[in-house]
Amino acid sequence: MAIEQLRVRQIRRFSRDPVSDDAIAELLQIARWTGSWANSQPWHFVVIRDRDALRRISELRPPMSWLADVPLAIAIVLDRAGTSQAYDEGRVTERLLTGAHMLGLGAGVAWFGGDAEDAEAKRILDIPAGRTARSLVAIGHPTSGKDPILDMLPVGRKPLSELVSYDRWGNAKR
Amino acid sequence: MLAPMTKALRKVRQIRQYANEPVSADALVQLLEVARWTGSSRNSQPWHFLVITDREKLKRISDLRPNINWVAAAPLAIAIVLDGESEMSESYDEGRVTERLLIAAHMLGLGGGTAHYGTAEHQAAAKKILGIPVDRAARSVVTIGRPTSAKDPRPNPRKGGRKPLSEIVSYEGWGMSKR
Repeated sequence: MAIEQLRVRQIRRFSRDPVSDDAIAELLQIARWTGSWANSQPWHFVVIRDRDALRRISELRPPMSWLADVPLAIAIVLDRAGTSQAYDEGRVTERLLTGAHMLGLGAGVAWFGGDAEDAEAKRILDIPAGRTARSLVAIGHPTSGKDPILDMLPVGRKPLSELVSYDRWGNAKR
Repeated sequence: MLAPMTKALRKVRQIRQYANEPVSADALVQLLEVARWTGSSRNSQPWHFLVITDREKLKRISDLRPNINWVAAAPLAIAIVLDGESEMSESYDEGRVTERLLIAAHMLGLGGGTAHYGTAEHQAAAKKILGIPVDRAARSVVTIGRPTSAKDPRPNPRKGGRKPLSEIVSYEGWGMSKR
């Protein structure tokens, strides 16, 4: 495993090819073994390949229209809506993005959008109202197309000099 | 089989016991680059990374509460400082960058662990120790070093293992098992 493999970008354009059952099984194991606060494993994963369900989720709001064509999505369902669950959701999402990349696939995150959209997504997926569900990870074989979301945002990253201090806030490198 | 390709990823666990030797400058730069390139909500990059090798500061952080006393012996910690503008979305991004750092440490032949300062009072104390402005959010550090043991040295270690897939996965709709 080379560290170059961590240059993982989100992918939101996929070919129509399905994701193999082997790859899905592997992704689920990766998700399952992700660490969580106090090993609480506060999650449940809904694997979605049903075209109608994906289309209905894609219609929750316009920036999600790209979801209608994805071969696979894994919705992350959380036990509660606290910040520690949000942190764990970020952790498992990052492992899924990294795992998909290692399997030669690509993955992108979609947020349902807000309380009303979360509730509607839960209805579409029969998720109990008491659980928290706000995002899914879409996975497939990447095509070289442009990204429909990232193209609207500033690209690149701040330089390390802006992002890093040493031993004390604001301290440049010793 | 696909498993060998991702086995290493599945095996990334938190490491909290380290050899008494520094993390190389080269490894540190790689870790910081991985952190820098992590995705965040709308590419907001709501973070700042505070690299801590100062023994006295690590000791003071480790004294915040008994469950993070192991931080005192870590050769390096990277404190994640967040802009403090959106607690929920920044928590998610903090989880993302933490996970990348843990995976990257593993890839570099090192190990990473996370330590959360604790309550709001603990967080305030940590910010004081590290000179972090009060309006920023700071909740955790990722410690990094060469692993000597994967055991959990904490006074009340958590049970390991994971729930079976049958309990945590549904297909197409909640509660539906595999077709």
